[in-house]
Amino acid sequence: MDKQAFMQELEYRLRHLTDEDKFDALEYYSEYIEDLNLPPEGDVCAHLGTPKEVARQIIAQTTERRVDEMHEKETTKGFGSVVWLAVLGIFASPIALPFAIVAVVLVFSFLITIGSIIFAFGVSGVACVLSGVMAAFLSITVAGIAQKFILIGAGLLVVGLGILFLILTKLMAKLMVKIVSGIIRKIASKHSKRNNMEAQYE
Amino acid sequence: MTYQLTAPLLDACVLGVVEKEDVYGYTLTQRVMDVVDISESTLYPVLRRLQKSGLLETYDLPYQGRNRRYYRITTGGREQLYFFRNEWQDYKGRIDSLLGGWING
Repeated sequence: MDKQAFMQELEYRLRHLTDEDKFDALEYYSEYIEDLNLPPEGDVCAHLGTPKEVARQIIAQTTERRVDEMHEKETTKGFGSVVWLAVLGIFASPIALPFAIVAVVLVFSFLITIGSIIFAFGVSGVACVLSGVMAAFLSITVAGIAQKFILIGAGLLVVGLGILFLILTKLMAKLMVKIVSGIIRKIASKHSKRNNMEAQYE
Repeated sequence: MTYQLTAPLLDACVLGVVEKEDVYGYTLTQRVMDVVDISESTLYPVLRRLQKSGLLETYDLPYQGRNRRYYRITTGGREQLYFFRNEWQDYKGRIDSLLGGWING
């Protein structure tokens, strides 16, 4: 594969990275290939491996970095792009396309399942808060001071329960993001390591 | 090569080379490849990571009508390198003490 074909395919495979990540990589490899001083039809892959392998390393490393940044800042921002990178990584990996699709579907069904459970907790929390507030207000309509107080008390109890649910929801969501991104990072770092090992035993 | 080069060790080697003089991708790769078995595409992710964590910085110099990107070590990179060196000496010493066979057994 000559330089032009190599660079074209590499660019294609990196097209979903941010412009900064993509152009930095493309510039590096363009420069590197120039420095190889190959004859015009020289085979770039003999030196660098296929564009697919090169892209896989870059995507794996970018994924690791994104997760590290996320964990460092203790935020859940950027989780979407990490999942996205994981999907790219799966497609860039050496496994066959049908298996890659299965893997991606599995990842998403896992996320959707866990996400739904957390969402259900959140909705229950909101429902508790609303119905609690409503019960407290409805106490106006019931007869008797004692009954009014009981209703207000019960309403506030449910509001409190709802708030606890919402706090729990937030914690669970954060935990899920942390665990899932941690798993993704582990797989990504294994990927870049495996590449090095392959090179060693060539 | 029987013993594997781990990621931190590779980071350390790259920092060590860049500390001596500023290098561009190709020469750096050649220099590391002369000593250990890595593939030619191994170092880009390493350089990018070191750059992103502020241990290396880059600048461009024109060369034959195109740019060459040079990597230079930062103060933080030096500190990290000193740390890596100490860790390596420590590790090497401990493995040597088990292996033995250095100076007249």
